[in-house]
Amino acid sequence: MNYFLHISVLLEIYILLALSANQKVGLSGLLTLAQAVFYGVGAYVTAILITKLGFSYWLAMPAALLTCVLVAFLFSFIAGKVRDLYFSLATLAIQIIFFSIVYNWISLTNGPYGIAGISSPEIFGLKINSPGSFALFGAVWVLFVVLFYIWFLKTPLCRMIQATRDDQIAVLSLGKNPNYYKGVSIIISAVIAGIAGTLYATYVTFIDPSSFTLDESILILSIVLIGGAGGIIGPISGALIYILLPELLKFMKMPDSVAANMRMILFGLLLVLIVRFKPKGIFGKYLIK
Amino acid sequence: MFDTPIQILLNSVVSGLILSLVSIGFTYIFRVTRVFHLAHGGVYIAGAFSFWWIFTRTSSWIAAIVFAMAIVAVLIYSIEKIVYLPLNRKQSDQSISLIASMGLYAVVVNILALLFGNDNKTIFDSISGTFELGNIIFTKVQMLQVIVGIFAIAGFLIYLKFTKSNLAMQSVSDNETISKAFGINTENIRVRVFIAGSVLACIAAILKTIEVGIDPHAGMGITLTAAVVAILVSRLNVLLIIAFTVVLTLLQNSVEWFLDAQWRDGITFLILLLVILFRTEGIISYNLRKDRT
Amino acid sequence: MSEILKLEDLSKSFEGITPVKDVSFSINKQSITLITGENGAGKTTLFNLITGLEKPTKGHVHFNGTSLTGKSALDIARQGVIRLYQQPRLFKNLSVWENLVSAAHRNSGDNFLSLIFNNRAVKSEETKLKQKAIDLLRKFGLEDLSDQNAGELSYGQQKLISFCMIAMNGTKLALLDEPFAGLNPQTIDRLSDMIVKMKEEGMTFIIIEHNISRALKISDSHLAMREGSLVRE
Repeated sequence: MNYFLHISVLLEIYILLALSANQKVGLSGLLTLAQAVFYGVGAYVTAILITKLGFSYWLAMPAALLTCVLVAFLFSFIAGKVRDLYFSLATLAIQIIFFSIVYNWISLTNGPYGIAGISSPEIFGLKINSPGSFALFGAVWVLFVVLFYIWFLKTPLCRMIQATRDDQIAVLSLGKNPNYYKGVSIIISAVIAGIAGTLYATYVTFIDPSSFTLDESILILSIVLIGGAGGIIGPISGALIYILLPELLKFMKMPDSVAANMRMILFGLLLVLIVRFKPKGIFGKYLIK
Repeated sequence: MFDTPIQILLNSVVSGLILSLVSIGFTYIFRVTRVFHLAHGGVYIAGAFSFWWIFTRTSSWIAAIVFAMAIVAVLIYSIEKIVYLPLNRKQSDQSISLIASMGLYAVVVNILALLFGNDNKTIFDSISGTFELGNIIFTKVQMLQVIVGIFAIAGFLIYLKFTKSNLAMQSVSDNETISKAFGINTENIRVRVFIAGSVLACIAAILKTIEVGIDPHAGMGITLTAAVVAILVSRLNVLLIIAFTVVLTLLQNSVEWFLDAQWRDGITFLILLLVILFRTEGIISYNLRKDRT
Repeated sequence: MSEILKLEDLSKSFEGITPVKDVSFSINKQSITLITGENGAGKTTLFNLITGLEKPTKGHVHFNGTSLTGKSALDIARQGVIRLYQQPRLFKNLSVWENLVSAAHRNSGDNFLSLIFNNRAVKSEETKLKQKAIDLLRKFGLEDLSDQNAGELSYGQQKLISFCMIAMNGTKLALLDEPFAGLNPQTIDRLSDMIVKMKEEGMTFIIIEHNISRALKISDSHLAMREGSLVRE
């Protein structure tokens, strides 16, 4: 039962990550290889504020999200300057630079030794430190974000964000600022990924740089592309596939060492197949050209 | 007093030369086919393992080398025909082939890890021995690397000249549609550049395997460094590519030695980021240019 | 009739090429001006200069009394100078009515703050704009397309819809780059009617066209360009 709850928490975190990536990829058409940066910023700022400054979760989390917003401005600047492929490569560069900073700035982040002892959140005196309570806590966040999207997807702002994705020159020619729409999108994406980061940090209570690598970013991107970008169902199903796939492999009695490689092979294969044959992804609304 | 810098310089030139085999391949592939072929790292590792597998079984250099090149050629040919060319025909954006190449990299590297294990491999009866000039060490392996490296590059240049591919490649890298209109068989050029580039990577992989063995997960890092060169060098100029690769390697090694080993990636990619921000075409001018053609 | 656009010695040169050389003319409000010339004569570059996508190396552009010279493309478009491109630019993943509503000037709804704090105003403006879009489509006989995905339209339909987007925008000066290219005669007639209708409602047009006979039918004046300069007034 505990194991099932543990999987649920991971699922919740990855649903949030997938939705955050979908904001950039599906709604804005910005293929990002750096989603793990926001994830990592959320996690690390939370961890540092809680362990080094004794903040409570409810103080650390907004601070973490604010930091994510600041980092988002960097991405917005880049999105306004370079196109398509080079934007993706720029995000790749930022991801690697981020990892380098986190790994080497030992006085701030403890580098490869990581940060331990991150205490759990408390609501009205109740500590959320069991798999069950955390699964519930995470579910509330997921519900919040999903409800947000159900509303947001129908707003004029979201429509303009999608219009910018479809043809930013047309948006510009009509007297509207495409950089504004890209910026808002990136900020929303950053905040949601940051939330996932704060959940992760307080759930596993120990974080180190290895969770926030280029591989992780590629994985998050793949989840969105496979599940399908643009709506809500796509990213959620992508996250489901990612989390449940290893369980399926375990069920098929595959040894753990093989399973790790097998998962990457299947995921990589899915990615190639989707890109090649079904660019909308399994449940996607938006065709990546 | 100057020993350490000179040693670093020497090592950087040699390993830079080897790496430039990879970056020549990557740059040519990127410029001619427009594919940001991150799977190049997978092909590299496939070459390394193929060589290792045959060599540890037969101790035959020739067999191992031929086998490795054959595997690499077949692999990249399949990838081009099954994935990249269809995407090119659909006129997909470059980001799409980038994503596809990442998926391919994951598949190739993890299949190799399944077959050979996730840990490093070494060749035990490889060449040992050194030359020494004062305190500077120049190993026999390095000597081999330099000689083979230079021959490989020369071979590549001769191949281009002999098959008259260079002009065709320049043309396709400039404008594929117009090249087709002039009767250039662009699909054929693509295959040639993919195979030539991959063979160069295979040679580099073999040379590295002899020296330090194989790290199955090193492919991406090597490719990304080559990619930095590809973006910095905007033309199909082999000497320029070699020069940039050696300088980049020197920079990386200097950072590693004089600062901290782990900042090396950060610095490399900061350079890439700055190059992308300041040297690539802006969004408006790119779109205007696309409209004109 | 008042002057709405005035160009003075507008030039663009780079790397030894001068695509636009000392172009001067003025345009009256509510008129349709045709610009013709061979490919490479500099017509599209002229449009790029007026709309701010490219910066002139010499000369001035005046619009409605204000100077546009050197201003950004965004500022110029916000003044009401809107451009239609040779290849229709629309939002292919949105429906036709959504395309039109996206093209309209809004007071709220498309920025984050107004969305959060002024929700009621957003909702009413949304309803009004959607109605305006449907009315516009109806005016041009295109209302059946309203729910279709813009990416699924035919080339001709896309051109008509992208024109409707300009009409939705409150455009004062519309620059149409080869609007008739690739259209069959009936569609050209339709588009011509649409242009004339919008002219009567106050819009000014500059049209680049190769289909001179059709374009002359609706134009009030004709400028020709050759090798970057005007050759006849």
